[in-house]
Amino acid sequence: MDERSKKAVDEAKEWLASRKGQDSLLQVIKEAEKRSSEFSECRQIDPKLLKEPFTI
Amino acid sequence: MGEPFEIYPYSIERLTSILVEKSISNTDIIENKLHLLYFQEYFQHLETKTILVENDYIDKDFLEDYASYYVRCFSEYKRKCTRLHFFKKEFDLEDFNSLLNKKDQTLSEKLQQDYLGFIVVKPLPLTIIGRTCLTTYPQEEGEERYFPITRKYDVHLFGLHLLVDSLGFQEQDNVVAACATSTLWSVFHQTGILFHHSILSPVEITKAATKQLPIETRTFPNKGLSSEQMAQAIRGVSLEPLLVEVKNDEYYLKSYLYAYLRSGIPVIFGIELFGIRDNRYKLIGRHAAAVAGYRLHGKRTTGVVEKDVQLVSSKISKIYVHDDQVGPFSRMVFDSPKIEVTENGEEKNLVALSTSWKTGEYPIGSVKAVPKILLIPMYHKIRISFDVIHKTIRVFNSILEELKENIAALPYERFCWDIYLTDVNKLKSEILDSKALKGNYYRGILLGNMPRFIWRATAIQGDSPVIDLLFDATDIEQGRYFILPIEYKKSFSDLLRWLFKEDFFGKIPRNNPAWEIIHWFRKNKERNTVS
Repeated sequence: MDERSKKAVDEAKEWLASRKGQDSLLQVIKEAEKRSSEFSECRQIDPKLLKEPFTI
Repeated sequence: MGEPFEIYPYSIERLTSILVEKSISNTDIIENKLHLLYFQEYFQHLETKTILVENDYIDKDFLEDYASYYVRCFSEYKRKCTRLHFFKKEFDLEDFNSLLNKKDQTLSEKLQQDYLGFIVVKPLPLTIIGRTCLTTYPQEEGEERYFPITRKYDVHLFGLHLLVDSLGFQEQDNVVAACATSTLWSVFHQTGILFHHSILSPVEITKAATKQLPIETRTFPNKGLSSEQMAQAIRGVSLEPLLVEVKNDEYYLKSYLYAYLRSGIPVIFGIELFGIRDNRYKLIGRHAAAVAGYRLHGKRTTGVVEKDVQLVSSKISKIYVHDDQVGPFSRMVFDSPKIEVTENGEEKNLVALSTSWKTGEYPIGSVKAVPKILLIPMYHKIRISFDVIHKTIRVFNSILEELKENIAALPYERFCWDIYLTDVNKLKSEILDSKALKGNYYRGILLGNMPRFIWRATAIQGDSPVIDLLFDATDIEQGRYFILPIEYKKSFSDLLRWLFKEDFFGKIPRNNPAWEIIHWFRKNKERNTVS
C-alpha cells in the first residue's frame, strides 16, 4: 500500500472508531437492508395473477 | 410424389408463394401474417440469397400434435411438412445436383458456412409456421447484443450435415397450443439441453400444464394457460418454477432478467399488451413470450446508477424474445416513458416496452407491452435466488460507498456490479482462459472444489474487474453461502482486510447480509482458495 492509501486507511479507522462514523455506517446498512427487502416482495405473487390465462 | 427438393433465389415474393403452396392457406392470409413482415426484415438483415425447399419433411413435433389431434378430424390433413432452408450463398439446382452426384464436394463446406437456418411449414390453413431455427442477428462492431439462450441444432439434409446456433420457435396453432404453450416449447428447447430433460411437443406441454390444474373449459382447442399452469408444465420436466412479479419496476425487471439470461437460463415473460387509440391505452390481452437475448446500451463494464447501486443489468436497452405472434428474436425496447392506463377505474402509470405487434385495430408502433411476471425454469439444486444475492451486494456496496463518502482519499471509486448465475465449469474456463489472471493464486482456485451452481458478483472499476464475490447457489438462505472472493487487484482486497479488522466490523451481527464477506476478510489474512 502506498503512503497516500495508508493515510486514507488510518483516517478510515479513526472514523470507524468514532461514534459519528459508527452511527452513520449502521444507519446506511439498515437502509440498504430495508430497500433490498422491497426486492424480495417480487416473489410474493398477487394470487389473481396466478389464475389469469395468457391467451393471445 | 413430387421432387424431393426445389431451389429458388430468395425474395419475399418467392417466400410468400412457397408458404401458400406448401400449407393449405391462401395469399391473403399469408400476406396479412405479421410473421411475413418480420421475416422480410429479418432475411434482408441476414443477407439471404437462396431458399432450398425440402418437401415431405417429417417433423417430430408436428407428428405428435397430428397424432393427438389432427388425425381424428373428419377433414384430411397431411402429416408431412415442408422444410425451408435459407442460405446467404447463391446457388442453383445444377450446383446442388453436382454436390449430390458427388461431382463437386466443395459446395458442401460453403453451404455450411452460409447456412442461416430453417422454417418448417405445417400443412394447415392458418397457423403454418412450425419449428423454426434461424441464426441470430449478426454481431456488429460496437454493438453489445447477447444471445445466451441459443444452442446448436444439427440439421441433416440429404447427407449434408449443417449446423445452426438458434433457439426453436413456432407459432401457436390455437388448437393444441396457445402462446403460453409455444413459449414453454421454446424454453424447453434450451433447458432440455442445459438440464438434461426430455423436450416435450406442444400437445404434451399443454397436457402436462393442465393435468393437475384443469382449465374450466375443455383443454383442446387450447385458448391459453395461466402462470400456475405454466409452472405445472415446468414441474412436468422435473424443473422448479421460480415465479417473480415485476411490480411495475424496471430495475427489478432488468436485474432479474439479466441474472438468469446471462447464465443461459431462458425466462418466460408474461405481459399485458396495450394499444393506443385516441390518445388512450386500451388493454388488448395477456400474452407470453420467451426471452432469448438482450442488448446493452454501451459497454458491459459501465453501469447505470439506479437506486443506490450501479448494476450492469440496468443498461439493458432491448430484449430479444421468441414472440409466437411476431417472430424469433423479435425486439422489445425500453424506449418509452410509463404509459397511463385506467384499471378498475383507477389511473395508473405503468412501465412499458415498445413491441413489433400489430392487430387489425392497432398498427405497428402503437402496441406496448406491460411486464407482469417472469417465470424461470430452474434446476432443483439452484436454491438461492437472485434477490438474496442482490441484498448481500447492496448492503456490502453501501458500506464501501459510505466509507468513500467520508474518506475521499480511499483508493477506489464507485463500482459497477455485474451479478449473474454461473456454473463451476464456466467459471473455471473463464479463469483459465483469462490472460489477466496468472500465477499460483489462480491455479489454486482452478484446483479447488466448488459447488456446481455459483452466483458471481463482479465489482468493476473502469474497464477492469477488481474483485469477484462467489456464492454457493445450491445452499440454503440461512446457510453460509459465501464461498470466496477472487482478488484481481490485491491492493484493493488488502485494503478490505485492513478496514474489516476494525472492532466495528467484528460487532456486526451474524444476520447482516454482508457479514459472511466481512468475516471472510477478517479471517483470511492472505489470499486464500477453497480446499
